Amino acid sequence: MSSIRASGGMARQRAHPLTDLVRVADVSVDFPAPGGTAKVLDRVNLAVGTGEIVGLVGESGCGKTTLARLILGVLPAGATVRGGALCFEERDVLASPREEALVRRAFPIGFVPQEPRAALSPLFPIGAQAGEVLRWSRRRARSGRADARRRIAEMFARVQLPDPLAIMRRYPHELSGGQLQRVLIAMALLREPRLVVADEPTTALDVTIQAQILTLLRGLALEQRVAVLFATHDLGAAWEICDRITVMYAGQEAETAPSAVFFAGPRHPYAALLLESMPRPGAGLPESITGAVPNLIDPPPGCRFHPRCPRALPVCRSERPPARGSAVESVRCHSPIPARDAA
Amino acid sequence: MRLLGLIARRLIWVPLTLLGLVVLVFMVSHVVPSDPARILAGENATTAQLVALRHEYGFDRPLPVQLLRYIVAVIHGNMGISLYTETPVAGEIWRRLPATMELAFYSMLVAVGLGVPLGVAAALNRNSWFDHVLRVVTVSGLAIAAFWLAILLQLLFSMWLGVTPVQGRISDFGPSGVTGFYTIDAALSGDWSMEIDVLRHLALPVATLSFPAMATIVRFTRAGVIGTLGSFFVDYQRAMGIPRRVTVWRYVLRSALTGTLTQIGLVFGNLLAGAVVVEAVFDWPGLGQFAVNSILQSDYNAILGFTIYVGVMFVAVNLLIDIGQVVLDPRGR
Amino acid sequence: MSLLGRIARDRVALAGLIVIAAIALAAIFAGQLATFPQDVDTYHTAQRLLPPSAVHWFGTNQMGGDIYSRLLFGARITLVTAVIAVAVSVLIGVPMGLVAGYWSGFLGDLLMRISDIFLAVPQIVLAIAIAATLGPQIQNVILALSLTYWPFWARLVYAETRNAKSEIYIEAAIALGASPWRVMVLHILPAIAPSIIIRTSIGLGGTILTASALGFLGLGPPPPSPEWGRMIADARAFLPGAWWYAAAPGIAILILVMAFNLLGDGLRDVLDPRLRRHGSPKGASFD
Repeated sequence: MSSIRASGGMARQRAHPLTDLVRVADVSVDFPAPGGTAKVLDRVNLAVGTGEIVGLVGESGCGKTTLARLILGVLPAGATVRGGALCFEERDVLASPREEALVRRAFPIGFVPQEPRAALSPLFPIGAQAGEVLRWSRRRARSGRADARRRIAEMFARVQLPDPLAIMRRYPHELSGGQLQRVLIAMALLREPRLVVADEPTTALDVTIQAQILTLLRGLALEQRVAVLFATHDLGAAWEICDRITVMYAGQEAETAPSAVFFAGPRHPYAALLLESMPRPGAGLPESITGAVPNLIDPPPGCRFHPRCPRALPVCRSERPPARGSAVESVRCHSPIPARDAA
Repeated sequence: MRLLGLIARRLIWVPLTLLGLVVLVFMVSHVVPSDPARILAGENATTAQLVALRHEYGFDRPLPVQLLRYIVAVIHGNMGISLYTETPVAGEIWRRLPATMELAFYSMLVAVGLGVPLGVAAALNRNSWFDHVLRVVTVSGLAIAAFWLAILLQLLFSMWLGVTPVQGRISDFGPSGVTGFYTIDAALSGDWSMEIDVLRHLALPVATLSFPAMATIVRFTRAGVIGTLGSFFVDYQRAMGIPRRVTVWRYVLRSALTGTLTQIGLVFGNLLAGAVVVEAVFDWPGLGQFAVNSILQSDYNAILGFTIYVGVMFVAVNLLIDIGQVVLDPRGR
Repeated sequence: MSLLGRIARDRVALAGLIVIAAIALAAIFAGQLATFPQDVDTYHTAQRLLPPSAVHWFGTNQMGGDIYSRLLFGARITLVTAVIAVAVSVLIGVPMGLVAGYWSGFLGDLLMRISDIFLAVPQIVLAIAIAATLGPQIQNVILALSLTYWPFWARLVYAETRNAKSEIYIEAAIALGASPWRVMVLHILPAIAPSIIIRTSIGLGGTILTASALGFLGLGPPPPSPEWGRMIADARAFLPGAWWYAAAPGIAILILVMAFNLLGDGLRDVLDPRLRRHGSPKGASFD
C-alpha cells in the first residue's frame, strides 16, 4: 500500500514513554439494548504515557466514545464494566468504588467533548461555568473570587480567545462553535489535569476552524505537558497532531503504533483498508471496505473483523487474536500485514 | 430591548381579545330572549312601568346599539346594574375581589412551595416508594372533583373533628385594613387571635384549591427534572469533577423550572375555575360565590360582568408569566 | 403490533381501559344491573336516608331512592355528556386547526385570535355563563361544554400542524406535488394523531369534572335526574349524618376520571416515540 506523504505534518516520534499515565487492561463494557446486550467493548487495551498525544481512531460505533467515557468515569446508566483494570498511575479505579473516588480526586482529567453547546448550560454565563470547574479542582482552597477570575481570563487568553473578560460575561448562545470549543479546552486545562480526553473535538466545527483548534490543542498539550487522548474518525486529524495511533474496530482494539510508523505502513488489515479509504488528491476515488459493521448484540466470534477481512484465516473465526508486539507498537491479528522498514 | 417589544406586541392584542370577549359574552346573554325589565321591575309591574324601564336602561334599542353601549360602558368600568341587588356590578365585584385573591394567592403559594420540592425529590429518587406514592397521590389529585374534595374536607375536619370552622372567611367582623387580605390586615393591626381565626378559616379552602394545582406542579417539575437530568451537560459536569448535588440543585433545577413557569399559568386558570365551586361550598365571600349566586338568581348582568372580569385577570396573569419567562431565560433576550 | 396489543402491554393504560369499559358496560346495562331501577324517578320517603346495607348497597337519598341504582343511571348521563361534548369539540376544532395551520396567514391568525377570545377565561366560567343563560338541561350542558372546548383543539392542532409542516418529509411531499388536502389528511394528520388521541382521553376526564361541576351548581339536568354532580349538591344538606350520600357519587367521579387519566398516560407511553423514559442507553451511540 502507498504511504501518506509526511511532508508538512506535525507528527513526531516520541521515545518510549517511561510511565503509563493511563492504562486500560482487558476491560469489557456491556450495554442493555432493545433485543439483548450490546457488547460494546471487548477486552480492550489502551495506554497513554506522560505527555503523549494518543489518537483513538475508528468509525462510528467502534466504541471509542465508550472507551473515552469509561476513562472519564461517566458511562451512561445501565452500562456494565466487566473484568480487567483501569489504572491511573498504577492505581486501579475498578478495584472498588472507594478506590475510584480517591483516585479520581487525585487524578483530574480534562474533558473536551464533541458538542460544546451541549456541555454548557444555556442559563449561566461562561465565566460562571468556568468558575464552577475551578471551584471543584484541586487548588480551589487558595483562590478567592478575584483570583479565580484572573486565572480564567489568563486561560482564555491562552486559548487565543479575544477579550477574555467580555467572553466571561457572555452566554453560550452568544458565541460561535469555534469560540465555545476554545472555552471548553480552557476549562479542561483549568483543572490542571495530567490527561485531557478529547472526543471528536473538531467534528462539529467548520473545516477552517478545525485546523486552528487542532493546532491549539497540540500546542497547549506540549506546553503544559499534558497527555491527550484524542478520539476521532478522521485519520487526517489524527495524523496532524498525534504521537501514537490506536485503531479500534467494533469494540476491539486492532493496532497501536507510533504515528509515523503507522502511516508508513499499518499492519492490521482493517487499519490498512481504513487508510486506503481516505480520499487523496490525484489518486482517484478511494476504495471503500465491503460489508458493514457488525451488530454488537451478536458480534462475530473471534476477531470481529474477520467477515470483511481479505486476509482472514480459519482461526480468526474462533479465537481472539493475541496482541503481537510491545506496549508501544502492537497489532492484534492472526495474519497481520508484514512489517516494512519505515523511514 | 426584546422585552419591551414583547410587552408592546402583547399589549396591542390584549384589548382586542378582551373586546372580543365582551362581544362574545354579550351575544351569549342575548341568545335566549328574556326580559330583564320584567326581572328588574318585579311581578306586579304595569306595562307602562315596563316600557319606561326599558327605555331607561336602553333595552328597547336594537341589539348592535345595545352592544356598543355595553362596550363603552365596560371600558368605563361600568358593567351595568345587578338585576338582583340593584347595585352596580362593577362595585360588587370590586368589593369581593380581595377575598378571592387572598384565597388564590395562598393556594398558589402552597401548591408551588410544596409542589416543586416534592417534584424534585421524586425525580431524584425515581421509582422509589416515595416516587410511587407521590404518583398515586397526584393522579388522584387530578381526578378528584374540587367541589367534592371541599365537601369531604368539610365533613372530616369541620363536622367530625371540629378543628376548622365550617364556613366563611372569619368568625366575626373582618379587620379594618388596607390590603383586603385578612391575613395581612389582622397582623398589621396586631390582633393575633383574629389572625389565627382567619388562618383557621383559610385552611380548608386553601387545601382544597391547592391540591389539584400541587398535583400538576409536582408532575411537571418531576418530568422536567428527569428530562434535564438526561442532558449531556450533566455528564460533562460530572466528568469535570463537579459534585452531583451542585449539578442538580444549581443547574438542573434552573433548567427544569423554566418550563414550570408556563405550567403555573395553566395552574392559575384551573385555580380560578376551582375557586368558583370552592367558594360555593365554603360560603367564601368572593367572586366565585358571587358568580354562583348570580346564576341562581338569573342575574345576567352580574354573570357577564364576572366573566369579563375573570378574563381581564387571566390575561394579565398570562402576560406576567410571559414576561417572567423572558426574564428567566437569557436566550430570549 | 396493533394499538390494542400495545395498550395491553402497558399496565397503566390497560387498567384505565378496563375500568372505563366496566363503567360503560354498567351504564349500558343499568336497567339490568340496578337493584331498584325505578328509583330514578319514583320516590318512597319512608326509606329516606338509609345507610348502606345489603339491600341498598350505597344507601338511599332523601327521597328514598337507592343510590347505587341512581349512580348507574347517572353514569349514562355522565358518559353521554362527556363523549358528545368532546367529540363535537374535536370534530370542530381539529379540522379548523389543521386548515389554519396549513394555510397560515390571515385566515390562520384570525382563527387563532378567535380561539384566544374563548380561551381568555377558564373553560368553566364561560360554560357557566352559557349554561346559565340557556337553562338547566342536558343539551345545554353539552352545548356549553362543546362551545368552550373546541378552541383548545383548534389551538393545539394549529401549533402541531405548523410544526409538522416544517418537517422535511412534509416539505418533500409538497415538493412532489401532493395537493394540500392530501398532505393534510394523509401526512400531517397521522403525524399529529397520537397527540390528539392522548389528549382526548385526558380531555374526557376533564370534561367529566367540568360537567359534574355544572351539575353541582344546578346547571345540569334538573331533578329528579340522577346526574352525579347534582347528587352531591343534594347530599350537602344532609351532612354530616348521611355521609354516604355525598361520598358515593364523588367516588364514582374519581374512579372514572382517574381511569381516563391513566389511559391517557399509558397511551402517551405507547404512542409517543419521542418520549424516552428509560434513560440514555436506548438512545446512546455506542461510539
